[in-house]
Amino acid sequence: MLQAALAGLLSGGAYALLAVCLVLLYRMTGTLNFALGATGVFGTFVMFSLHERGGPLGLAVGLGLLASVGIGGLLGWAMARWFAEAPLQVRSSVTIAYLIALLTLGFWIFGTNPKPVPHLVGFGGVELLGLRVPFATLVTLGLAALLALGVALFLQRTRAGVWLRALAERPTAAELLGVPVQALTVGVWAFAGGVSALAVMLIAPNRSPEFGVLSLLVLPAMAGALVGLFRSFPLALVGGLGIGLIEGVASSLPIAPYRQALWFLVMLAALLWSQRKEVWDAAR
Amino acid sequence: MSLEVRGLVVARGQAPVVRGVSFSVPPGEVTALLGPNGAGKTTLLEALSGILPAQEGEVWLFGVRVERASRVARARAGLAHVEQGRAVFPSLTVEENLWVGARSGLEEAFGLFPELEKRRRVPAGQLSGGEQQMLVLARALLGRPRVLLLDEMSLGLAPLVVRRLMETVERLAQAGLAVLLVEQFAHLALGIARQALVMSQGRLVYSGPAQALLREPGLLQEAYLGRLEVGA
Repeated sequence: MLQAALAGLLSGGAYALLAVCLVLLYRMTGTLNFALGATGVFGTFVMFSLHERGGPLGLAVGLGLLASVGIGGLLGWAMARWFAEAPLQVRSSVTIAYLIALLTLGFWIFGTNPKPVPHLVGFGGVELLGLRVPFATLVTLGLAALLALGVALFLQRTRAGVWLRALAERPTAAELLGVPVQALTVGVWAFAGGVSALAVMLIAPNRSPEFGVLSLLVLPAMAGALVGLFRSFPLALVGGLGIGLIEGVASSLPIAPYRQALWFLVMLAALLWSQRKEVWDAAR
Repeated sequence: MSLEVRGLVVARGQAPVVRGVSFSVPPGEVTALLGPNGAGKTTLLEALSGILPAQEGEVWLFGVRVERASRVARARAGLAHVEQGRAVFPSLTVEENLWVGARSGLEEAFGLFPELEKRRRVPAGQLSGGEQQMLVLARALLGRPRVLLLDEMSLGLAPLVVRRLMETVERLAQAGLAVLLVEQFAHLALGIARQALVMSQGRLVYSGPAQALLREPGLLQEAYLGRLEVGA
């Protein structure tokens, strides 16, 4: 069971990467980005296609990341240009429309057949307490932890981070002070797009490499982000990893066929916990 | 002129709120913008800084037309707008609030309002109303503006704090800043202003020396009621 849990940590690391990006986007721009997974998948498929045609892996990865940065930035630009003053529901609905557009475009460009998936990280691993930890898991976990820590430090310690926090609270007041709100917004969306591509590239070898299936990775990531109530980067990291662990453990149990639905329980638990005061008050 | 406005028309939704207003704000003095509630003063300021679009007319900032320019471009051209309601960034500390608008160090802000330095690590949302108003004024000044739009600075503040803020604004104007001051307490604004503008129902009904309105309170009353012609 421990080995199964460990296997789940690779997925958990990828969920955590996506969850931290979801929290970043929610806190800085007030949007639930349902298209984050598809944004990453698009870049990943660009990478698959280039590699399939004989392109060097490094170049394919670079161009794939660049594609997702561009796709993320494009949505950010549209948000800043046309939906800057729109409420959360409208902005989040726009990302659903973008998700549908990306799915359509993805199926059209890359087809519906699964692609051969190159491994970004070698097949080796290390022995730890009698368990074999693959390099891919270590890299994914390291990147997730680095991202959560890096984003938190960036927001606290840098001028651009302070600007981002300011625009998250009062975008108009920030603009009146000369803060380049549009450029920052596009930057955040583009960055999230790039990280999502990295997460999908890392997890893709362990999943069915289909555009639609991989795009749904955003759902367990949302469950992870919900653990931190879309506010906390460390809790989003823990949430993402926890969901991966649960999935891993469940894969060794009779409920294995339903393991990917378990994050619904995590979401439910997080929502009930967030509403505990109201629930207990009502019960009294 | 620092700021010049020609035939400005501004609407909220479909309804025009500012109807063909023209005036100028010279450097080195305070221009008071007065008028009853709903006269269009805040809407006018919002159009000048780009929060609201101008339907018609021109806005000139140091000889450059800016009515189509973005808020950021206007801010970088030297226009600062301190909005009504003390728009601090509540979860950011005093220091972080100041850094948002600063072009260089924070010493100037702490020199103007030493109490802010004592509370530099406190989240702005925990400051008193007076301290918050000092913070937004100091934050705007750190962007090194040449034209300052101030909207209802005294709202909900103790008289002592208001007097201090007014004295600061007067000193800033004496140092060369062009200030357009919207103020509910007309006598306070007129006390530090050289020129006064009075709006009523979206139109400018008085444009002239502030002292004339102070000397003849009846004139101000007539202006508020919209019974004066511009330049009276």
